[in-house]
Amino acid sequence: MKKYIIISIIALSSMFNAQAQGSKAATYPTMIEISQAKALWFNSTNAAGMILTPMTNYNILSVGYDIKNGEYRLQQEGDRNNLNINTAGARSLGNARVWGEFTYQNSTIKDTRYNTILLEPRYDMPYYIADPNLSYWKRQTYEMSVKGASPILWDLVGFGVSANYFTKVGAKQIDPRCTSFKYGISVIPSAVFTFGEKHSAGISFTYVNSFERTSPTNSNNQQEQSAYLMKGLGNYADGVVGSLNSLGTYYYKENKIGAALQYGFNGDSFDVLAEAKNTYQVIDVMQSPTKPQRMGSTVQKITGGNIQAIINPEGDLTGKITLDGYRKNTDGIEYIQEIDKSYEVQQWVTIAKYIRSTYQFTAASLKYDLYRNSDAGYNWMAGIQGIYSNRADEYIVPNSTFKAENIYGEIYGKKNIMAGDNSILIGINAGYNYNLNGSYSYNGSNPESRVVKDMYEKDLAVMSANYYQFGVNINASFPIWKGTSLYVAGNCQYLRSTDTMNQYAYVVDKDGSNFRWNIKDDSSLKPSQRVIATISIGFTF
Amino acid sequence: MRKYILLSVLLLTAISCQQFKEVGGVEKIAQITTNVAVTSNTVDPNVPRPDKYTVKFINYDDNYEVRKTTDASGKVSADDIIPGKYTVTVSGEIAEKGFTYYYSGSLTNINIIEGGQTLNIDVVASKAGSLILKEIYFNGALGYYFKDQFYEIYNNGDEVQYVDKLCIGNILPASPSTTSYTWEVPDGHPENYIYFGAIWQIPGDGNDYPVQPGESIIIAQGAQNHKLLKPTSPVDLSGAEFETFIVNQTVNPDNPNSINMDLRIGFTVFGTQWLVTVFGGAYAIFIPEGDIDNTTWVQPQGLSTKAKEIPIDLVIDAVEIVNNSTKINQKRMPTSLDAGATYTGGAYNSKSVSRRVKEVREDGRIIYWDTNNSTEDFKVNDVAVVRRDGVGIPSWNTWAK
Repeated sequence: MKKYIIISIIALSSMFNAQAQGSKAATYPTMIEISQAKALWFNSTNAAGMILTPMTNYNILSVGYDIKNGEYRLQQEGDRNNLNINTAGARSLGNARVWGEFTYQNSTIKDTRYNTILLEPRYDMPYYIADPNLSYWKRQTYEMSVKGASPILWDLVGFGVSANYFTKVGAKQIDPRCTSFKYGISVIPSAVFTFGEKHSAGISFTYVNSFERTSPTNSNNQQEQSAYLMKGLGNYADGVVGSLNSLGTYYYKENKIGAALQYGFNGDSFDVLAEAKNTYQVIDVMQSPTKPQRMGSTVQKITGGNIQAIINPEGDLTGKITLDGYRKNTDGIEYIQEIDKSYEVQQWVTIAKYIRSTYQFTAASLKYDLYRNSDAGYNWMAGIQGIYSNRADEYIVPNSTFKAENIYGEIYGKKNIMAGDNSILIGINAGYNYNLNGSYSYNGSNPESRVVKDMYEKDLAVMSANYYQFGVNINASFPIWKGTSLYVAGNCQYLRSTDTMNQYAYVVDKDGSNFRWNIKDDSSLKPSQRVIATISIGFTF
Repeated sequence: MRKYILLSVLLLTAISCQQFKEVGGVEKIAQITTNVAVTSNTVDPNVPRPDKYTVKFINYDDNYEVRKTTDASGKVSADDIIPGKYTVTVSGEIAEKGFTYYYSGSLTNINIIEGGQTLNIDVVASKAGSLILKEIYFNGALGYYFKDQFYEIYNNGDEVQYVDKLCIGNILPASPSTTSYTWEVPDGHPENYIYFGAIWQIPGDGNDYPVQPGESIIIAQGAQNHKLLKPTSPVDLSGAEFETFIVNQTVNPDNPNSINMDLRIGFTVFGTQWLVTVFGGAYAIFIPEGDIDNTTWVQPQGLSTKAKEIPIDLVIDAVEIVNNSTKINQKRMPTSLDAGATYTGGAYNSKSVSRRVKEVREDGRIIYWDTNNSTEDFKVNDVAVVRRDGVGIPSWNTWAK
């Protein structure tokens, strides 16, 4: 795998480097940032449209390290240290446009619970193995993405495609442990049609296929480990890792299709792109490849859309409005199966299947950014955004529900200070999350279980807490040679829950080990917090 | 190359379509109604009947249980059943003329999918007062130690019982498994038998080993003080009445006090000890009619596995033990002998299973639950104990401390 990393980095870097040699102007991160903001079609699923709103040619190669620490986290989330290597670039190939990116990430995730097998646990995948042991994970991710757009042919139509391939591997390091592998591809062919100078329309189709395989095991084979076969919202069956009747290999088969329509308007002083999209995804969860047993399936439908508008793109002041919204409905299907005991058959046969749980997530966001343009990208920028999210999950019988509804507001800004040819970009941001609604009602057969008390109730407290967040970031860029700049960047975010504003405040005691509900005026408790810090060094050219 | 790309796209599309098709049209689950009609057609008409029966619908996959009581005609309707795989048990009891009659019946691993169906369950009656398997220690101790396995058999009745010729054994499959056997028996009715991989028999002429009410006997794999042999072991079995001794070895010495049992069937006995899986066997005790013929056996269809078939009618008591709750659906013991199963949830942890106390008589004698449903009758103990609850030792055992 290492050789693929090296080859990919060299290929992507050298592909674009030849073009960069001819330019003596330095490439600053602000130039790439505002170029991406103005490239409306690049931010859609339609790669063909890149030809209509092209980005500036750029290349970037960076190495970064980031940490996420603090008690304000979901139980499966843990504290994280990531090493990131990233290279990306965009350029013209004749009259066509191409863009590519490769990312490698090496992660150590500490203090996680209730996830024995999944590389990326998420609430709308309820079928997995969990255990209550405090654990940590090692994980590596390799991901490559490309987009390409043909020239407009016959003044009417252009074609494009975007593709993504990823491979992930990880291992849980405490019994019960596992080794997990996941790979996936996505292909999104697209076409864009132009109607005169101002109007354009596009269509794109999505196909995604991924596969994850994970095998639970123990290092200490004298000690079996109890595990939960999770079914959603705190419901589970008992299982064991180890011994002759250990839980077997789990595997996840995902297929996803989708389609999107776009409409673009190129006005005299503003550009608009609207997109409506829909996807349909099925993931089957199976156990034991040699005698497959269905552990569940999820069916997910996402319907959404977004509108981007650039105001006065060529003027001194450029504004960008982004409105985005989508609704995600996921059905959790459980199977009633029995063994066909016929001689020489011995296979699991499905007797019936039902939707046992549903997971609804609605999100909407509105964002406005204002840029003061300059030769170095922009002189300053300021923005404001609001994000609404609503999660509503239900286990149908016995009925259990989980709800978390939040609204988040944030303001931010950056100032680009030029010192000669050097650029120092300083940014600050501050935001506040206000919880509108949060509840968890469990009516299953294990109301006192750790899954209910230690996982779901704590996660609810995190997801329904009010919190404030602020941060500062800095990026210092130094031209070093013929259009090539060296940059050093850092970012630090601090998040703290507020224990006086909401009955679902998430607080821990001083050693960080306990958890309380509805705590007011207790000096022995403190609100939980989270620190996210990133440092990176790289080149732009 | 274009041909391969096209083929790949078509193949992936076909796989996707099949996956999408399988989840198409799946509906949300809803509770359904199921009826149960209890009959006792095979019980002697002169035996008194309970006024009502308790019916339990147990869905082990969902850990969901519904409990109902029948009317006088033995019928009941449950309208809160979640479609799924169920074990339905029926139990009832009635006391008359100094005897308590227990009624039990069950259906195991039945699919209740459609609403409105009626389940007919015929119950059988048994009179309390026979020998029971009281405690079973099969788990072993830390360090892969399993020589300290033991079985305690208790006189739960009101009359003396003689354990001469009593047999104990474990049936096949040795462990709960999705693999099952289709036994081929001479009379063509495999449902009338259980199939032993090992049978051990207590010697005696019929009145050598009396067990008084409230007394128990211990059958040890090795009648040694295992606390000395393996510090992690929780039990001293040097006072056991019987041991399943095979050959005298330094590692498996013979206890001259403990009476050696006779190995009648040893298809699953290997080496120098009777090791039953530490993950949970299915055990039964019975007294055979005459000698056990070890020159004949039966085999499952298509397999070379051997077992000795014993008629269900001879069985005095039986207990199903599985690894954990997820394996209850793979139980081996017929539901007429044990409608449920018990488990400790792990191995080599010194845990045992034992019957729950039903009542303590005025003379201090303990009566244990025996409803032919191990799920109900048994509890899990953190540590195995020989003659738990201070039950009596037979007078002829002069070596027990």
